[in-house]
Amino acid sequence: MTDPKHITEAPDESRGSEISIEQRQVAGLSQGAIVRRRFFQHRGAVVSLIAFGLLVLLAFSSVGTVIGGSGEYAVDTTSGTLGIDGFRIAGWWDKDWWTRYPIVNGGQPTITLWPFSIGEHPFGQDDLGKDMFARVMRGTQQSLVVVFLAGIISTIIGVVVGAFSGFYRGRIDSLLMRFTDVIIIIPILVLGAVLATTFGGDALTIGILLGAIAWTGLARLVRAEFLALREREFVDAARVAGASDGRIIFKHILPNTVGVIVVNSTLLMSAAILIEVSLSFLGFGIQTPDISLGQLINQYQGAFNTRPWLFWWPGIFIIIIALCINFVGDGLRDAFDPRQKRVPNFNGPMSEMRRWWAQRGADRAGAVAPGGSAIDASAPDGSSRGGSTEDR
Amino acid sequence: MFSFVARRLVATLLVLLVASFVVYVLTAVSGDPLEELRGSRDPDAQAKIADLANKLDLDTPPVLRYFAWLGGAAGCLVGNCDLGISVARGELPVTEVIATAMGSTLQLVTAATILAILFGVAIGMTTALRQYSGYDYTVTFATFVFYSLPVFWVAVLLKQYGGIAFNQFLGDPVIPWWFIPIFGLVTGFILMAVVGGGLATRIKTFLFTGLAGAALLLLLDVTGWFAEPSIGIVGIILFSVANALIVASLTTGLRDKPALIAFGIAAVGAPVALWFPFQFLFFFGNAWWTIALVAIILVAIGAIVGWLFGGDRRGNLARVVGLAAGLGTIPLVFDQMFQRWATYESIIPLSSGVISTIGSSTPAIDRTDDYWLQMLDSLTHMILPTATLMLISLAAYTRYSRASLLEVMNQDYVRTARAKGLSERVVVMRHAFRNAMIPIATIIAFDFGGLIGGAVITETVFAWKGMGAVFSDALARTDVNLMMGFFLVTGVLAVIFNIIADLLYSALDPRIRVS
Repeated sequence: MTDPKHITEAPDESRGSEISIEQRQVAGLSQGAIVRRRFFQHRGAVVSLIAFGLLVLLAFSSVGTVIGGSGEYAVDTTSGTLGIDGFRIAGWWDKDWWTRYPIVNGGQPTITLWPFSIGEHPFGQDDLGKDMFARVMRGTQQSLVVVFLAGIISTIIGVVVGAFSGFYRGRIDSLLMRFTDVIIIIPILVLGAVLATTFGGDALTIGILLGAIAWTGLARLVRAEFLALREREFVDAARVAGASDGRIIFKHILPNTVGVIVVNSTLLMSAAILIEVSLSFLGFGIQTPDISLGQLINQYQGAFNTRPWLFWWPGIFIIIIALCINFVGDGLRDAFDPRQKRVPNFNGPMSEMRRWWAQRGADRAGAVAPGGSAIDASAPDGSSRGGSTEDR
Repeated sequence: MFSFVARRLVATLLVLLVASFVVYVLTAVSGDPLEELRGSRDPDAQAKIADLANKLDLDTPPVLRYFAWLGGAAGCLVGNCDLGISVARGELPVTEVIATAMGSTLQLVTAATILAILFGVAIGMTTALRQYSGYDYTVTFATFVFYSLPVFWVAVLLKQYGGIAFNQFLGDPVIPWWFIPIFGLVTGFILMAVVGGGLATRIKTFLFTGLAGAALLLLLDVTGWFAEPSIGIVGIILFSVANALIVASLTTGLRDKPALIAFGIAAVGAPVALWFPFQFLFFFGNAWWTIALVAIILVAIGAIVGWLFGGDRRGNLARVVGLAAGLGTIPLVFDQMFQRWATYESIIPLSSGVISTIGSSTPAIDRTDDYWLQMLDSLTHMILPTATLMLISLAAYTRYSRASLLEVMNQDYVRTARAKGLSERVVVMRHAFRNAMIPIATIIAFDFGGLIGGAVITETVFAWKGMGAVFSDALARTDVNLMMGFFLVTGVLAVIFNIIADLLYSALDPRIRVS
């Protein structure tokens, strides 16, 4: 019936309806809103995001930072103490990462859980008396700087290379892909180490260098996406409307590839921290006097038997950073992919045990369970059986 | 097809040339090979500097030196390699240094990769089949954690706990009483989750495997097996029965009587019966070909027995029983190695423990003539670095195979196979598994490409003199020739395996053909 009243009602749910339940759920929301909502349903990712944020806050605020300067130590002539070159912003932690303090408690960590107290040196001291908490915080800062720089730079380069390569195809594609191959063929540790040895060993440089060599995987993925998307009708429509190439690439196709880019960006960042830490461990990354978590582990690996805390704390922080980034990346991947849904398993053994327990209770109370047997391993739709007729 | 391979080869050759140029120039610019000599107080220093500068041709700029090196490297194609001399290794020719280093690294990474593939694919596929179960969530979380672990941290931890602490335990091997029930619980849980099924089946599996695991550990403890490990005929029987059961349950199912009899005869009976005769073979044929011979004999026996009992499906059964029988070589070889345990313990130096944390072999044992003793020595030296390398590879393979199998299980043809009435085992092993392995095969090819250069950190921590040490030394001493030798090997291997991966993909998947 073409009654005008019915036009404003919900679409007909009988066969042939185009709108699925899933589409109804997200009706009226932008892609960003949908992704945000799905992301926040992923508990692990949200917890990791919060933990990561707290970690960044802790690392940068606790011991402050040094801007500019060469990072070298210099004796401050007025007060006679050792200072650091560059503009120093102090943090709320009263110790810094280069001064030798008198050894307390044999260098062991002074943190206690019950009663809770931080003590003088919560992460302990090394054999020279330097405060490990300050050193680990400084190392975390440097690693985070490298991670963010490398992530941002490699994302930009990867997206640009992949976009142009996939959109234009032909000679530009061949050229760009061969250039990418050259970088892929050289093992990243080799390339990173050689570049770091040549251009110096502070966090900013390492971050930029890693960003300049780690974009290849992302470029390939973006290229694949562009190759597929450039055949779609909206590209033709935009071209017919008179859009330039640049506009089509960045305003039409690129927003559709955001999912892939964001997910791989986070994976890139977690790989970046592991590469940086490995480089520093081998001695080719961030050089002394500046500190990196990998360098700390390299320095103290022999001390494991006598002073294990020197080894545990930097490692734990590396793992926390890498884990948080990985979890957030996984949450983003789940948020962007509309096909993945966590379906609760109504037929699993835990559900079966719960049903059996509930049925036993129902049996004792006098209600008769249809079918009789409490444990029926072959029932394919135990959920409906369990939910319909019992008195609970 | 041929033109495709040719085009790819030309393109990759160009890429290799450009990449090698980049590496050469970057390495040459990164430092000074004569730095150590310049700072030396040796009276001959100046003469040595001049000599070395002459040999390495340090007066010419790096760009021109590259072409000289290229000329020498091109000689490799005709079998006359001249890669220059290595400053970091006492002016030995680079080819010699790389050859010895490569053997060492290959030994390590091959074992680690093969084990990682086997276990990773097995675990990944079982988690895919039991998706959303507690086992699945646990394994996924564990792979996440392993992905985020830095290699060197794991290496140092394993060195400490797997090596030093374990050696102390072996000095006085008493298993604390609380460990046995926990071990039983853990094995019970794992197998219960893997076998699956309804609640009753799970409880039965859990109890059975838990008790069996705990009983086994108790037995080993009481008999003092950890002090003097050996396998012997009892071990051979246990291994063979387990081996036959697993292979049978995966391929023919446990209800197929003729197949079970075939397995019993070939996979259990043959190794057990031939154990004693093989002792002589192993003793007199003191080399690697003994293993190959034993394997061939067992596989032949298995194939013949399978053929005889096969009936309609003799080809299939012959293949499968042959495989199971061939796997019986492994406990026989391990038995030989463990027979030398007492000798091994007496020869190793007092400072190092049984599980070694340094180096790739004990020099005293290298000098003996006993192949099985040397094999045991290699095994104990390889365990910790292999475990380190394996852990992270394992996580990656688990994730890939899980994703791959999940994708395959959602396909229409799997649903059709189930609708036809095929048992779950047939659906998974005969249909889903093969298609899920296609992307994994290409990943394996890629992985083998990056193998040689991938163990740098592990080799540094465990002090193996392999390709990792070559890279470290080359960069630390700005030894351009050695670095180029390293890059040549890793680059060429990466390229070859990339092409193999592409060819493999198009060969395995008829839907993808080169255009």
